[in-house]
Amino acid sequence: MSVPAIELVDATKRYGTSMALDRVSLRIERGEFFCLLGPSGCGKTTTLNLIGGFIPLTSGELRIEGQRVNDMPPHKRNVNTVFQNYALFPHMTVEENVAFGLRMARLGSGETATRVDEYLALVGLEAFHDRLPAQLSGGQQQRVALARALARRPAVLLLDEPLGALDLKLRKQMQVELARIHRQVGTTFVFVTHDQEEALSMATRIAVMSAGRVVQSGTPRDIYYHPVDRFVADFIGESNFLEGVAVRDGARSYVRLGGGSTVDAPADAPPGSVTLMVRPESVSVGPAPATNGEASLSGRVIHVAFIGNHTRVTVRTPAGDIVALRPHSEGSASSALDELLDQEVCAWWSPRDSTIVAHGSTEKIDERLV
Amino acid sequence: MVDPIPASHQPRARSNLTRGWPFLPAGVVLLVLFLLPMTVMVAFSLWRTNSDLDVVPDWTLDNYIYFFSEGTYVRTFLKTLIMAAAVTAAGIATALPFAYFLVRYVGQRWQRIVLLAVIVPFWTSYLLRAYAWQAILGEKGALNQFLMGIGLIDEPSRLFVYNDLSVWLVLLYVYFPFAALALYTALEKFDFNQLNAAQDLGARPDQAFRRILLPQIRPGVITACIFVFVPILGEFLTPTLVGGAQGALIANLIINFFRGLQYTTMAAFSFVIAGFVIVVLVIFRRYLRVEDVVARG
Amino acid sequence: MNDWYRDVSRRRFLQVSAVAGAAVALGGVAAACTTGASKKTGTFNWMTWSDHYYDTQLDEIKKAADIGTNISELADNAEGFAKLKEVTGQLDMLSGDALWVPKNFDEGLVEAFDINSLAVSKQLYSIAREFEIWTKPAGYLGYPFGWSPIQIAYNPKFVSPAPDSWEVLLDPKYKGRIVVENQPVEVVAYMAKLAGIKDPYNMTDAELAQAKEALLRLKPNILKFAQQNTDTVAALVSEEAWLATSNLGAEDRVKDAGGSDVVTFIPKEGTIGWMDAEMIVKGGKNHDLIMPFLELAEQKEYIAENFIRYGRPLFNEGAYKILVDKGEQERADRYLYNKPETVLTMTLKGPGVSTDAAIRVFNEVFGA
Repeated sequence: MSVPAIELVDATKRYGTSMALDRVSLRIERGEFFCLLGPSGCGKTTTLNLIGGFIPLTSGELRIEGQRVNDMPPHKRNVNTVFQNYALFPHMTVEENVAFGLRMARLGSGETATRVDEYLALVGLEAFHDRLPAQLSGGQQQRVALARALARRPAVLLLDEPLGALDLKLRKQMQVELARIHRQVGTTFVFVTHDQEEALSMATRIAVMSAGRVVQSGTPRDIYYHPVDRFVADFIGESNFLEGVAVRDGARSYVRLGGGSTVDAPADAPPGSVTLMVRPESVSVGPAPATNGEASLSGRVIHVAFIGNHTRVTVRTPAGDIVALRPHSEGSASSALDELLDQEVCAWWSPRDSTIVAHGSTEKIDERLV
Repeated sequence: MVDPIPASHQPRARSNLTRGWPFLPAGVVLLVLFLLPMTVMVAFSLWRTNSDLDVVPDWTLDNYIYFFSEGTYVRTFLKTLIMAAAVTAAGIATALPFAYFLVRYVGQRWQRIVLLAVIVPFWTSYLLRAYAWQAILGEKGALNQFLMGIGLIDEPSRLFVYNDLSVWLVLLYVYFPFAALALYTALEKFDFNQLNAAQDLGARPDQAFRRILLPQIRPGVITACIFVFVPILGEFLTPTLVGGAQGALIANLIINFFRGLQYTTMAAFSFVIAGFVIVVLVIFRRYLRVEDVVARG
Repeated sequence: MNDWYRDVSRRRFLQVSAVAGAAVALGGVAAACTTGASKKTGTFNWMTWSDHYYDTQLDEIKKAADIGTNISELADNAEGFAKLKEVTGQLDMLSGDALWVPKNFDEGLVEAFDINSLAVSKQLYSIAREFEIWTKPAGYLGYPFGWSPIQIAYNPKFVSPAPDSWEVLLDPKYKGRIVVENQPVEVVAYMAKLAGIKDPYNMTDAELAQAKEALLRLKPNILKFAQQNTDTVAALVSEEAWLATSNLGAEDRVKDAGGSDVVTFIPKEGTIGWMDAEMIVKGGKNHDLIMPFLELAEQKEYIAENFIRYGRPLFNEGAYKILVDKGEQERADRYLYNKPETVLTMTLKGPGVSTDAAIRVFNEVFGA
């Protein structure tokens, strides 16, 4: 196994009596585009600052490329940061900003100039050498910050909510840009965000954090389709939650839901009281299930909403409200779903598409999700 | 896209005179309280005083020539410049860490309280504050008692008062708030995250300070310099009170002429100093402007 | 919105305020002109030193004759002279020293009067009514008030043998132990006296050189220059200074402030001194109040009380007898109260031809 770019072992950060990080352990491999995702206060920014060297660990280990760096000051670490507000030096030109780190590394004027040109070209700002930060737009400033941080060719690039200050369109553009740049330079990227869509679209792996702990880490698909608990499920994407009791009957498992209905459960469902989760896009709506072996519930359509590229149907069943998202493909007449309003229908899904996200009599509900 | 004003409503061609109406009140004040007295002073500086202590309008350059021909005035002026520079340097050296600490590490509420504490002494008479220093630095004063108390000296020292050192010290105390407030204002606008960014990019803390912080607070530093250096050139009260026989600065010598009703000499000497100050300010101003241009693009 | 409309409003505003301002100014001038009526009661403007009067005295006079005083503080003669030149009739009475009195008269600022027309003047020592410098054909130039020589005060604990000359100030033994007044012309005059120069306010270049040389020897001995007498007293009390120049009464003031006993003497080479008088301003707005005021204020009872409070010799002979009756004779004699002829042995402070030169000498010595 190769040396990971970043390794945190039982990292803890305490401020007085409050725990910002509680025994966090992470491995970030070389070349990953890694994301720390979570609501505000979960510890993601603290983790980033820890790696950058701006705050010290209370206990635990931090290794960068295998080397223990707990006490190393920021200017000695082979890590560079793109700050949330960019922190460009207003009294220096774009060129001088990008060259700053190289001057600190005493690279020599020729090599410095070459690299500055290289990285400004990488971010598409070749013509901006002599501009001052105040003359740039938000997106341009961010790209300068990026070039500045990358110019030193660090082992790891840290990005703190990089797209937060941009408008929607720019954000989507930058998502593509960042992915491209990452592929091109091959540096390990670690970025922090609270926007799950950003995380899903850019990251190679995501660590979902809450209350100073890593709740789940994995690829975007892992996290999306197999959330380990209700918090992760609810944080990423939209979910339908159904409470009930799981029962094993030989090879089959099923869940008795409120209102008396029963649905087939996923194969590995543990017996006992559980929360079942199924994604709205996995739910189909119609008069009856298309095939056998599906989990299905009967109910009445209480709401239909046309959302441009899909329709959102809410079905009220005895077990609770179920939301289905039906895409508009070429074949189907999209307005057909509108006619289902107030009709009695079936909402069904394949048991494989459902997950148990909580079990046991004491199920904790995370207040911060409200 | 505004519709053009119809010809009937367009203003008549107005002379520059009527256009300048709003400046009348300020102009009157400037004229009466500044230009007129200045003109009188300039005239005085070129006339002479007779033995009856009257000003006689005999045009002469003698007063100006006297300033430069008699060595003591040039020497005292140089001494004053050195004293002003020394106080300015010490003022910035003490005010900068103070303001830095205040802006960076102190909460908003306490910041205001501390700033108030810095300004409150201005509400006390200058004379009173200088007298207080006499008491502290004197032979029987608090400083000597402290030093004897900790055993550093056996007898009270007379080194601390009625000499150049005490003048420097008291001037530093009096002008510290000017430097502190100017630097505080400059530091308040500074984004300290940039220092993190600089360190992140490999700068040691001292390099970050020098290359990122200092250039951006330069206008504040220059303001502090001007507000400390220039007034000290006119200082006479502190040298009188705590300077003893050796502490005289150029303003003291000029005041002596004033008290003896030698207005003509006094006026000429004052203009020599004022001329120097104007040159300094012009230089500082051009320097400041260039920096502003660079910073704002 | 059209420009022209706004400009008319602004112009109109300025026009109105200009007219209003002119009206106020004219009204003020008119008011000033009309208050010239002379009356025997009212308030007059007096520029003087704070020890020329005391509160109870003024209150009683106000009650008795309804004459009030509006007093402005006088720092020194030059300032008073300059101020009077500036404001003329707005002052009614000005106090001044020795040769400044005839100077004010020569400049047409004050008037001569018949001193014998005041009954209270009979209480004065006769010598005070006959000072040559205050006598003009038109009359006497001021009502004599008090006098004082400059003395040297020293602390016998640290200064011995007992000095009798200006020379003691130059003794290297007393380095940094001497306080003199922050008055350049006077300090140069002290040195001139030391050098035996007859008229320290009208010196020749050669004499100035002598004074300068003495001043250079004085310089290292000076602890500081006193802004006012309280500074001198404080320095003697704290024993930071062992010698000082001062008006009469220093030993009492030091004692009162809790200091040890100091001894005072008049240097044998002669000293500088002052004697002052109240001058009547020519054309003062409340001119007619002055004589009645003086008639009351200069009464011996008030003068005696003034001596008790402020401690320097005054020219009122009648007051001396009251002081003797009150048991103040010892102090009065110590202050040379009954020897007003001493005045004739002093060099009197006043403007002279070498004022400017003296300042230059001072600056050359004490500048860098």
